[in-house]
Order: sequence, then C-alpha cells, then structure tokens
Amino acid sequence: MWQYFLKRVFWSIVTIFVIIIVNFVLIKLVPGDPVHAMIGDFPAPQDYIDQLRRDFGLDQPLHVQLWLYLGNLAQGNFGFSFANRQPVLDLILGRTVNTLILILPAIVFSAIIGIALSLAAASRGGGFDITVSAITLFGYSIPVFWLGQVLVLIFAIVLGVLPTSGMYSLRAPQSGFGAFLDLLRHMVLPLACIMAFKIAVFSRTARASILGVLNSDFVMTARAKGLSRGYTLWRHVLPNAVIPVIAVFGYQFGHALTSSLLVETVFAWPGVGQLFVTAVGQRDFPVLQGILLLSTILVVVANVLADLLYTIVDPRIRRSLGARHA
Amino acid sequence: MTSPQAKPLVEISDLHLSYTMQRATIQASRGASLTIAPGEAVGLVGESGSGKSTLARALLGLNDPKSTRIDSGSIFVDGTDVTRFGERDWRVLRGSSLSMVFQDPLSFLNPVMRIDRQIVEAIPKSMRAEGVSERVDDLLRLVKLPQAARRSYPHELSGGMRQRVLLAMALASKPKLLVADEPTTALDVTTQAEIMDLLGELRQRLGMAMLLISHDLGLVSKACERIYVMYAGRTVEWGPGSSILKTPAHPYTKGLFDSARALRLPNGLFATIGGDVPNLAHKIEGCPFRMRCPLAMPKCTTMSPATQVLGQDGHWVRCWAAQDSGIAPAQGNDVKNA
Amino acid sequence: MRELFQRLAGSPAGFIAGGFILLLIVVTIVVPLVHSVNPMAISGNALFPPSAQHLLGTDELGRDVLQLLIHGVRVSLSVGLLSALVASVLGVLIGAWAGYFGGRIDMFLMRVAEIFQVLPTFVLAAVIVAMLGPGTTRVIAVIAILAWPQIALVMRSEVYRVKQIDFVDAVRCLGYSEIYILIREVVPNALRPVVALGTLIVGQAILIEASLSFLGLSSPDVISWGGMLNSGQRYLFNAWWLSVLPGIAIFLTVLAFNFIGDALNAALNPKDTGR
Repeated sequence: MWQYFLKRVFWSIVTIFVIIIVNFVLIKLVPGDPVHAMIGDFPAPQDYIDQLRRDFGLDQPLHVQLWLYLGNLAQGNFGFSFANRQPVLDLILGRTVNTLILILPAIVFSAIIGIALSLAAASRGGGFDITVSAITLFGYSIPVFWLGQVLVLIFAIVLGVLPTSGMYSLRAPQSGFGAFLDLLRHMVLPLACIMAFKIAVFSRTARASILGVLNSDFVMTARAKGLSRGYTLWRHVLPNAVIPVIAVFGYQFGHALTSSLLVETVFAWPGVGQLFVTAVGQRDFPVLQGILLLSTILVVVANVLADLLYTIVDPRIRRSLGARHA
Repeated sequence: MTSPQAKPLVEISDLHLSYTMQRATIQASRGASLTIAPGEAVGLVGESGSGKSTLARALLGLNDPKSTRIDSGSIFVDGTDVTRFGERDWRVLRGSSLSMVFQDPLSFLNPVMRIDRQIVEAIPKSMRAEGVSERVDDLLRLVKLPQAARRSYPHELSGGMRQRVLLAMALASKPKLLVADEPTTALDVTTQAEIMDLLGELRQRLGMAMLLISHDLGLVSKACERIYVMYAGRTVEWGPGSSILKTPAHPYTKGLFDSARALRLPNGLFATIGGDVPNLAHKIEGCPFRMRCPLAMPKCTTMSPATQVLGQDGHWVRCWAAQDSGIAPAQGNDVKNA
Repeated sequence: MRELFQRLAGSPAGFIAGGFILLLIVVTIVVPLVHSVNPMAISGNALFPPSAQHLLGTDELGRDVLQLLIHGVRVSLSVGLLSALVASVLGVLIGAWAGYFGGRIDMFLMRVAEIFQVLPTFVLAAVIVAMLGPGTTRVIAVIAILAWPQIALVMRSEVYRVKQIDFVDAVRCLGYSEIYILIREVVPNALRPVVALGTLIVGQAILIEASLSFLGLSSPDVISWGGMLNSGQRYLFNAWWLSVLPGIAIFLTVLAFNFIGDALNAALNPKDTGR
C-alpha cells in the first residue's frame, strides 16, 4: 500500500515536471526573441532584459538553459510582471485565497448535493432518475461563463436582489458578521455557476457508484435481515458508494479551477481567474505560465490529499497500512 | 398420503416465476413444489442454473420485485399466502420467521462495516430489550466465533469465520426456518465439514427447520431428512433421503449420484451427465431433461411427465421412463405432494 | 452500429438532437454558397434590439446578430468535429496498439493518461493558444492533443477484451499476421464505445473553443459564438441579446451532441443505465 502511495507521489512530481518542460518549450516556440516571451508585451528596462539573458543563459546550449530555468523556479523566481509591477509568484499567491474561497465550498456543496440527488434517484427510481439524468446533461452542456451572465441579468439587473460583481460592497461593514454576510451575498452567483457543472460531475460519478453498490451481494444480505430500504441505502449503500467519489476529489479540484477561471471574470471576482484573463489580454506571459504551473501543483497536491483521504475512509486499505490488526 | 404430520411451515405449490434480464425473460421456476415441516431439514439439489437459488430467494421475497413476477402457483409460509406480499410485509417476515445464509460470505458482508454492527442490525427490535451487546455475545458463542472478531472488518476474517458471521446474523431473529444457499461451496474441505457440523448442531439445539441448497447430492443426503431434486426450474424427484439414495428413480438423479460418487465407467472415464442445462429463456416442450436423458422416448418430446408416487414413504418422481419401466405404479396425474 | 442509430432516431429526443445537428451541418455548407450578404456588413443601427428588420437585433458595429450566429456555426462545428476526429484517430491507433500488444507502449500509455487526467487541461490549452497566437487549426490541434488519452484508454480496454474472445484465436489459426488480425478483426469490434465517447468529445471541444474565444483567444476577423460573447460582455447591461443568444446557440449545440453521446453509451451498456 505504501508502495502504491509513493508511486502516486512520484507520478505527481513527474506531472509537475512535464508542465515545467511545456512552459520552457513554449518560451522557445513563441515567435521572435525568447526574452520577449519571458517578459510579455510590455516595455521592460534594458537592465532587466540583460539580467534575464544572463540569469537564464539565453546564449548557452539548450540543456544549460533548462538547468538554469529549473534552478530559478526552485528558488521561487517565477519572473516579474511588468503589467502589475510585481513578482509573478507574489501576484498569484495574493489572489489564490480568493479563488479557493470559491472553489472549496463549491466542491464540498456540489459533492453533497450530487450524492444526495443520486441517492434520491436510487431510492425513488422512475421520474427521479430521469430528473438526475437531465440535470447531468444540462450541467455538462452549459458554458459556465454564459450561465454567469444570464444569472447576473436575472438576479442582479431584473430582480435586483444580488450584487453584480466584486467581492465586497463599499458601504458594507469591514469586519464581523456583517462583512461575512456581505461576502456571502457576493459569492452566491459565482458559486452557483461553478456548482452547476460540479453537481453534474458528482451526480454522474455517484450515480454510477451507487448503482454498482446496489447490485452487490451485501445489499441482499441487508434485505434478508429485514432492514428497510431507507436504512439500507443510508447505512450500507452510501458509505460504500462514497468511497470511489472521494477518490476523484483531486480531479474535481482541477475542474473547479477551470470553471473559476472562466466565471471570475464575469463577476469581477478578484481571484486567480481574473488575473489570468487580464494577463491574456495584456499578453503578460510570465503570469500565464506561473498560473499554469501553480494550478498544476495545486491540482496535484489535491490529488495526493484525496488519495490520503481515500485510505483513511476505506477500512480495507486503512488496516493494511496499519498492518497490526489481525 | 405421506403428508407431514404437523401443518407445514412452508408450502410451495406448482410455482411458475419469471424475471427479465436485459430484455430477455427468464422462466426460472416452471412448476416447482416443495414443503417443509417445522423443524425439518430439507435439501434442494440441482446443477447451477437449475433455478434453485431463485426458488430459495422467492421463498424470502428476495428477488428484485421490479423485474421478477410470480406467474402462477403459490407460496404459503406458516399458513399465510405470501405470493402477493409487498416489500413491507416481507421485511416483517424476514426479520422474524425466515433467515438466509449465502454462498460467498465475503461479498455478502458489507466491507466497510464492523462485524458487531452488522450482527446488531439483524437483531429485531423486540429482542433488544435484554441488551444488544449481550445478545451479540450469545450469537458469537453460538456460532463459535471468538469475541475478538467483534471489532473486525470482514476482509480480516477467514472464509469459515465469515460464514459463521453470516450464520450469526441469520440466527439473530431466532428464525423458524434457515435457508442455506450453497453455504460451503466457497470454502475448503475442512472448513466445509466444520460449517456443516455446526449447522446440524444448531438446528438440533434451536429446533429450527432448514432448507439446504446445494449442487452436491452427497452433502445434502448427509444433512437432510428429505431431498428435492430440481431440474430446469421444476422439482423432478423428491422423498426421504434414504429412499432417494437407495432407489433414485429419475435418470437425472441417477446421473447426479454417479457424478457425485465419481463413478468410473467401464471405459475408464468418470461419469458425468452429458450436455448442458437448458436455457431458461426458451420455452421447453415436454420433459426438459429429454435432450440429455439416456431413457428418452417419443412421448417425452410432446408431453410433460406427470407426477407419480413410488412406494409408501412419500417418494415422488416426474418421469415417463420411471413409470413405463415398471418401477412405479401408475398414478393420477394431478397429484401434488402435500 | 446501424441498428443503434436507428433506435436513436426512433426516440423523439434523439430525433430532435440528430435533426438539430444535421440542420447545423447543412447551414454550414449551404449558407455561404447561396447567401451573398456579407455578415460583416455594417448597418447604421448599432446595438439595435430584436425587431422585424433585425430579428435578433444588431451588435455594437451594427451587424445583424442572426447573420453572425449563422456564420458562427462554421467555427463551432468544425472545431468540435475535427478535433474529436483527430483525437479519435490518435486515440484509436495508440489504444489499439497498447491493448493488443501490451508491453512498454501499454505502460507508457497508462502513465501518459494518468498525467493528462490530473493536468488542468483547459488552463494548459489557454496558455498554449495565448502564447503561440490564436488560429482555428491551432485550437483544433491543441484540443485533439489534450483529448486523445480519453479515447486511447477506452480503446485499449475494449481491444484487450475483444482479443480474448475465441474468434480471434480462430482467425489466428488461419495464419494471418497479427497486424492484419488487429486491423481487420479486433479494431472494428472494439469501435462502438469509441463512437459514443467521440460524440461526447465533440461537445467538450465546442465548449473549449467557445471558452477560449470568450477569453479573447480567437482571431478578431473570424466570426465565432465565443467571440461574440467576448465582445458582447461589455454591453451585457444595455444589449442583453448580444450575450444571451450566442450562449443559447452554444448550449443547444453541445446539448445535442452530449445527448446523442449519452444515448449511444446507454445503448452500449444497458446495465449501468439503472432501473
């Protein structure tokens, strides 16, 4: 079991390395002077350009350049954004919290709703099952950013009940419960957009795994004991069905990040997504590459954590890790 | 005639049952009849695919109600007709009078729930007054499991121990009938013997009836007082174990015996029954066994054999050959065993 | 396969979804041939709401939105279909090889697929297009490269399953070469799930293209639904039709492909459609 885990960690590192190579190759592929790719479309002082050439050995053979590139990354040098007048790493990390505020609740709530929906479908069957299939189909087909625009039109413009954009209101309290409530009001719509797709993903995964568990023999045992269907679903089916759903949590994290990227700009939410979209417009390449690398690292870490969680939840694996119980 | 002295605990008469699987309709029971008296040990024997598990599950209402239908015939449990039972009625019955243990004890236990919790679930509300923990202790002692097994998960136990856990769960409601569906097939020979001994001992001690389902005629004849032989969804021969053992009348039963004893034929091969069990998705005219039967005659293709009695001890058979070869006196066709 | 499509066309929803896609294809091919009006033509009425003259209104440059939508079909469909096609061909070839011969290629495929599953693929696609510059061919290539492992994994397990079936041994006894057996006997029998997944990938690809264009990653001289959304978002509050209508077009198109993909999947594994 530990071996499996170490293997996963090893492949996570390989994944991060692959993205670093992709970044490196992209710099080389951008038409024109590679220095241009490392600065972006922004007039930079000649001093800085010369320093970049020296730091990254741009006149040296490719493998030396790659080595220097890796060395710079290892020291946390992700480049400098002239558009924002800030080192890339500081810039992105400063925005990460705002994005996590959206993503983490979105994943947790979607998981709960998605699993609950599939469970309800499993216990009722018939019409409920069709409803869940429809929700899944719609969730997979809606462009999230467009959903955001429609929600803004309906809730902010027509009904006027929720704020159109941003994270805080100017007149709202700066701290305490009032501030929290204000944040919640701003969160509702972007959260709803990210969740629309997430709920679809979770209910699809959960539905497949619940159907699998419902066909297992121990459900027959539960019936033979004279247990009610509701109790059986809750105590026997659910715990077994949730395990594979947890296993894909890390993967869900990557999806949510993508949705957030597209949704933040609609709501002017000051997170990594908005930074990304601005950087696209400004052709601020170091920021784009930094976001790609950091989001990869985030997703990879989330995957390893999901693996750990999985081993904690499933007694079959947990016990073999402990290996003391007979 | 040789109807059991007491009122029967279970009485299945001419049951026809079908279920749908991937758009095909499988007629799993095609005239199955069976009675069990209180406290009696009855064996049900047949090859895999003969419909014996479906019959056993029908007795507990465990077949999927959405895809399974009883076409005709009846099932009486304790004098009540259960053919029209809903899930709620079944639940009451399963929690009190009827219990079942299954073939593969690992897959029939919830992998992420501790043993004690799974046993507790099986204890009916009415029996929880005297203390649930004590009751679990009793049950573990009854099936000879160490107390240490309480906090284990199923995958941490051996196959024999898992089967004991299933047994403990089945006994928790003090049932009148225990249905054991191939309880030892997944186990090695030594453990098999231990579980069979335990089953026999428990039956004596608790005075409960047992329906033992197996493909192994030898095993069943040791453990049961009466035996039913099932083929292609219908019961083809039944009677006291000793009588069936001594004078098997149906060619299929004889074939089962020969392969069970690993009988060596003059040509040096082991005796087996040639051919395959018929596909229960198809309609079968006449006797379903005729394609594999050494004694088949023209009549067998067109007419389903009538039920007839052999001797005075309640030994019955459904076979034209058994009658025409003069083993059995001719009897009325519509006789049922009850 | 044919029977599958027949069953699909038999259900009303499947019929509508299929009909909608056919309509889009016809529009893509026919409209440029018979239609002489330049969609880029600028009329005097900018940001004109839907009316009898302009059924779906006009945009900020006074172009007719209906015209733009009709001409935008081309990009969405070609990106969706072509990238799914390229991804499928790549995936089928690599997956079939890995599933049939096993060994190193198989190990490699599994590792690559694992990595792709973890990667934030959309961010990757966006960064690549942003740095190398927009262009329909480039977008198709990027989407295909990111999507092929899904196909390859399915193909691999199908080929692995099919090659265990007896008839393959029977053909082998006839003395045909392994490659011949793989191409003529195994692959055709393993293609059905790939068709279902490929259809779903068409939907994914259309969404990715629209998202990239929405981020501003499309060339300004090509009309695309995502591009319309990008320029329309500035006028969200005073010209709702510029945002709502192209979104509906994207949604319906993706919905149609996803519906057919789901239906094909369900027809393939009747077991996990549940009861």
